[in-house]
Amino acid sequence: MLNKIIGIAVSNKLIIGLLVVALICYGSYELTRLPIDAVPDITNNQVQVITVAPSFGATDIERLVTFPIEQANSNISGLKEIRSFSRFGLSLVTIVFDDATDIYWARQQVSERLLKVQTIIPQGIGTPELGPISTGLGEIYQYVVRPKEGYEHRYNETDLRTIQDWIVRRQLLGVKGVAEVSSLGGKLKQFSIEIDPQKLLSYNITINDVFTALENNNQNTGGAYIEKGPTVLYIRSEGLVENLDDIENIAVKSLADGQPLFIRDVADVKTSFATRYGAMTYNDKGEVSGAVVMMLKGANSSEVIKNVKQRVAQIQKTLPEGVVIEPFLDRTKMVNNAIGTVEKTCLKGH
Amino acid sequence: MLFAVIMMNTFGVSGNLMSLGALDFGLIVDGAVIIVEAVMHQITHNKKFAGLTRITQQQMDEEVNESADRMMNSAVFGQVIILIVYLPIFTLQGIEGKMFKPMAQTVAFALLGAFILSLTYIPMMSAVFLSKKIKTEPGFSDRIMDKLAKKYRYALERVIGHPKMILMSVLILFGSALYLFTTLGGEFIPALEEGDFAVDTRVLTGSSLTTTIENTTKAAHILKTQFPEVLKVVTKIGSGEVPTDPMPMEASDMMVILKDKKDWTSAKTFPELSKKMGEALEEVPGITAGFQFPVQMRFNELMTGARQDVVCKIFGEDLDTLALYAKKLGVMVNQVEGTKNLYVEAVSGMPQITIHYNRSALAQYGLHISAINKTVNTALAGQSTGMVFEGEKRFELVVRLSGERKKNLEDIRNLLVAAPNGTQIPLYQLAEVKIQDGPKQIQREDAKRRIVVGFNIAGKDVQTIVNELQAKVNQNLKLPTGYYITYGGSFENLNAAKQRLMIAVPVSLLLIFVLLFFAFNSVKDGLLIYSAIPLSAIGGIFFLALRGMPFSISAGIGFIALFGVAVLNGIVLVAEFNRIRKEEQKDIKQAVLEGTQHRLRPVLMTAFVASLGFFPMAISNGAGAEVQRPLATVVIGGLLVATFLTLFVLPVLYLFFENGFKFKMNGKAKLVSVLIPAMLLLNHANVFSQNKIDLKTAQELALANNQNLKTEKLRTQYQTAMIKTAVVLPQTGVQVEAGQINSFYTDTRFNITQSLSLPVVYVRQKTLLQSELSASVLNVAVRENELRRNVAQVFYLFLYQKKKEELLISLDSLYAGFYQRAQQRFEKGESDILEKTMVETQLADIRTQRQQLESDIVLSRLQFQLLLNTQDNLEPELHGNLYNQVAVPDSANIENHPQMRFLSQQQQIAAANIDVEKAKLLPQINVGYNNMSMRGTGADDRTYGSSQRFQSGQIGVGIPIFTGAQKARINSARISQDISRQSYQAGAQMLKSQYLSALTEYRKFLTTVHYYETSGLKNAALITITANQQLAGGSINYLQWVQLINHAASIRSLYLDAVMSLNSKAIELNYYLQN
Repeated sequence: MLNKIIGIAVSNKLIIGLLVVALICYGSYELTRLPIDAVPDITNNQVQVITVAPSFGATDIERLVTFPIEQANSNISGLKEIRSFSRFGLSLVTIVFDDATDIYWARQQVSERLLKVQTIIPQGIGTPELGPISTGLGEIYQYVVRPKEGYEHRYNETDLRTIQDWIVRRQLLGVKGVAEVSSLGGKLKQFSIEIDPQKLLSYNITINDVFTALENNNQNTGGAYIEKGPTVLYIRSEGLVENLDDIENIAVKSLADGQPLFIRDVADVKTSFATRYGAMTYNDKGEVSGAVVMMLKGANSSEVIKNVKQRVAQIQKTLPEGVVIEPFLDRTKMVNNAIGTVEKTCLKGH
Repeated sequence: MLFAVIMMNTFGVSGNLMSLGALDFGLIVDGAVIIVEAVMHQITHNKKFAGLTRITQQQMDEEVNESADRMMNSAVFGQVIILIVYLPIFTLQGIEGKMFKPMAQTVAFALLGAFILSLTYIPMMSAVFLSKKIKTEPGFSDRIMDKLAKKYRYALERVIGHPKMILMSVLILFGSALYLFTTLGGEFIPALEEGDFAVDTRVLTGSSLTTTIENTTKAAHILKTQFPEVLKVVTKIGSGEVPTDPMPMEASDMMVILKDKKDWTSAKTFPELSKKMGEALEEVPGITAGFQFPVQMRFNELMTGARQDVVCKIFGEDLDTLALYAKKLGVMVNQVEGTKNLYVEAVSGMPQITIHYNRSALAQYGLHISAINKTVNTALAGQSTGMVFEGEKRFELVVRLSGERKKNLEDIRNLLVAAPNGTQIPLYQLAEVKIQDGPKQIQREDAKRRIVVGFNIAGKDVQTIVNELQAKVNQNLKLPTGYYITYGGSFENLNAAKQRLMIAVPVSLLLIFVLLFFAFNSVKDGLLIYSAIPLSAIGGIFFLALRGMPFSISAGIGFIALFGVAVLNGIVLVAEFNRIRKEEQKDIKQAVLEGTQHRLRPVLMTAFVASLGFFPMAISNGAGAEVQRPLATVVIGGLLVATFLTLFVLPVLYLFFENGFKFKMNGKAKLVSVLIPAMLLLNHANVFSQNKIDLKTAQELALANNQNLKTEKLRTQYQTAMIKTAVVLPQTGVQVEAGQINSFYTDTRFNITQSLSLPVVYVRQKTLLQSELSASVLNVAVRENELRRNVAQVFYLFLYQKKKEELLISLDSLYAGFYQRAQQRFEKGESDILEKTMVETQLADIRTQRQQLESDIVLSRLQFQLLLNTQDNLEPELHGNLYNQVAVPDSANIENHPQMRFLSQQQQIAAANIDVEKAKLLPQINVGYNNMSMRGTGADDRTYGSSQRFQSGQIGVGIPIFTGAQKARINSARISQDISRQSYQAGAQMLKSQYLSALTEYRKFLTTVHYYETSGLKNAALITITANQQLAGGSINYLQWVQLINHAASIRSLYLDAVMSLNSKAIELNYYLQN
């Protein structure tokens, strides 16, 4: 049979030549599409269940969150091992599946079970969530958002984090192949009402009163619409607080003399930041904000990075003056290095 | 290649270091190489085209078709075997599978592509584009190959002579390689240099975020200012918003972004730089820093839940117990040599404020724990009560106690809790508030609590360290029931991979064997080719050891690839041996010798192409090279050694396998079969004897066959061979030492030394040998010249004798007739007794002369045969004149005579000899290279393992100080130069005088011959005729007649003598005039 093939090949030179040319063309095209990475992705198939419970200790987290999650997930088919990690404020359960398991199916299974678990976990501790569909090679692009030199005093950590969360991250999330953009560092802006317990005491109110007042005075509603002649008018109320003044002017209760007692009377209202469990620093210049861009499992890293870079360049234009996005870890460097080595050796070898 | 890319995309294999890195062009083009080679060979060696210089396309097509068909089996087979060899890799699971499967897949795809192309495209292209001119002149490469082949054949012949020695030495080599292999450490996958560092930095447990920030900023400052390589340092402290990487606040990842390696100034390599940086960071108090690469760190963490290379996990129930044992284990780890960056997971020891409620107090105030909890939570952590929107942005609205009020324990104690009755009660009345150490983090695996003790490895291989640690733990650490230790990390994968390969490799080897069996239909041949595998392993192991690399999975893959190519070479050779034996019916040794000659080129090609393909990989230093280097090292080392060994050991083994005892019998049979035709031929020759031969043929025959001349010619060959001895390198000293060389530990040391003389010595020696060679060539010319002369002499002597014989025969018949008549007349009484008696004596005289002549003829014939070295009864035959005149030049150029040239060459030899002896006074150079391990703590307080190699070189000069003997030798050489000069002059004189005397004699005999021809012979004829007439007329009597006839006969005889002498002198003259 082989002999026949050779015979045919030698006698039909043109056809073989054309086929080879076609092969070269198609191959070159495919070569440009080949996903390139430095090393093979050796991460196993895993689903992470993350529960953030900011104010609980390790033992409680283990008992109340981690253990139920482990129990619920211990009988999924294709399961290899379950690891967990409970720390102050955080429960992280890693469920490892064998390589044959479809990751989306596995996530489906886990989230079904999490619904059940949620009823077991006491309210108010936290909600278990699935981690991003990414792998060890997923951290393809890491950047800091930092003020340019000379602008250090215009932007503090909170501003940087706000820019990161609401400008940069939101846009990056839309890039194809990006699974998650995990913000790091900076200070997460909050409006905080800092109560002076002495004042509460003196006005004879409790913290719960303050809560009630705040909850009751921060909402919008809608009133459907009314017909006015040929048109309709939609109705809505605007009761949401919009700034610090609005909050300060919420009444907690009426005093005995009929005077209203405002929040500002018992508390300091100001913008502050959430309790921090992490930070990020740039060189020795102090704190900045930043993020890790994680790639979807199985995506082509060079392509995703290309897209991310394009998008970052776009975002850069929309940032306030003096703020820059600066990538510090970029997978392309490593890939280029490694592939460069391979290319060199291949060509030399040739 | 492109085919592979298409397939990769189809099967979703990504291009990366492993998959693309494994593509060795050498392997891929192997098939094509074999086919193109075969086509070329076919064209150049096919007898069909012997006379043609160009062939047509049609013919070319046929040829290509034919040769491709023939080689296809080998090529296909080879490719299939290489594919099979990669099979075990497909069985790998887990990480090692993910690492290496893409590689195997890529190689398989590429091979498949190459296979299809070598069936279609290559034959097509060779038919179209290969030069259709038939090369008659060997090209440059052909000449090199010829030379190589010749050398190889020579070496092979010698090697075949000592099969036992060869086998023994190979066995010894293999044994030592195996031993060396056990001393090599194991390693999973060499770390890949990613170009940046991720520094796992930790401060004291329980440190605040501010402390961590301060410390890491200091560290970053140090790195940024002290190391110009650092581009930037970004530190990630604690966990991010999506805590996939849950670090506590005291832990941070310092990403140190580095410049390109070529711009570095502080260090050359990553380990060096990380060491220096680690030292610099020691300045910052209270932080520990572990240097890793970013992706490597993430991988470690995701795979095992820990960031270190080796992770020991203690499983158990009680956190305090776990912590206790972890601490103990940590101490042990520190005692093991080669560990660094020890990390003992801190599960407890985190200071916490605990609020312990007093239930009776609660009951007293009618409070619920939940109410107090909510207050505590709100007051300290703050509680979200909704959102504030700023455009699109959303921020939490949080209620908490004002900041300055929660700085210390007292604030918490004084926290007011509202009781249902409206009073506010401070917390301390309801609960005990105190600072206590509590658990910091709890890790669980498979529903059990565990604690991690992790460490990284430096300068040693993982396997050894883990073994050492395990031994220590088993001895010293007694765990309570229900508690146990497991060891994980990258070494886990090595073990898993090893186990799998343990099964898969033998299976694929078996498969190869089965295939071989099908191909050759013989277990023997299969086993034979199999011998290539241990042979190639020898080289691989030695090269690994030489470069100080541990055995990693990369190296293992290298071995697998190596086996494939080695087996391929074996197949090529054995197939050829078998073919020759079958088709040409030659005996085994002949077949082996010829087969190796035929296939030397493809074998060398495949081996060298493959190893050259890997060569850049082996020496490259770029990122990712760490992974490829062991692989490439194994392949190159293995192939070089294996090719060499296959070329020598395989033939020996083949002979061994095929013959064993049969060999001797075969030899006898051969002898008989040669003898019989030879004898037949001899008989044949005797029957048809006396072939005629002329002088020229005789001389040519003599030049070709003469034994003496043959000896001289062999001597020339000897001298030619001797020229190679000009460059004499003394034996290379190779020493392998193992033992306690440097310290208590067993170290290994390799040492290679070589001494050599200055080049001028070799040049002079070569000159000497060359002049000896030309002397020998000249000597051959001298001998040829002499031989030609001798042949001519004997030839003419023989002719002369023949002529003489003719003369005597004619006289004999004359006298015999006359004798009859004399007798009749005597009987009739017509004459007296005198007449009759006289005739009788005359006749007897002639007969005696004839007898003498005949034995002379026999003698000269024998001489003739001796000169021509032939058994045939050759008969000289004259064409043309009986003698030839020699054109005598006015002055003979004696200096150009071979004899003189030979003598003058002797002078040159003597001069060259003096030079050589003088050169021996020049100094000698010694060069050496050492490679050794120094286990233990070195001078720089680092511990070195066996895989860390130390190298040194040495160079030296040997100066001849005691030169008396050598000077005497030079002196004697000078004297022998004088001797040769003297003998040249003497020779010249003698030759000249001989020439002159020969010339005089020649002239003398020429005149004599002229005389006879012009008058003597005519007179003799006249005398004879007249004597006959007068006798018939009765005017003379018989006596007178006899006298007259005798006179005439003697004139003829004298003439012949003169011609004979003339010829002899002419030959001599020719000899002297020969240039």
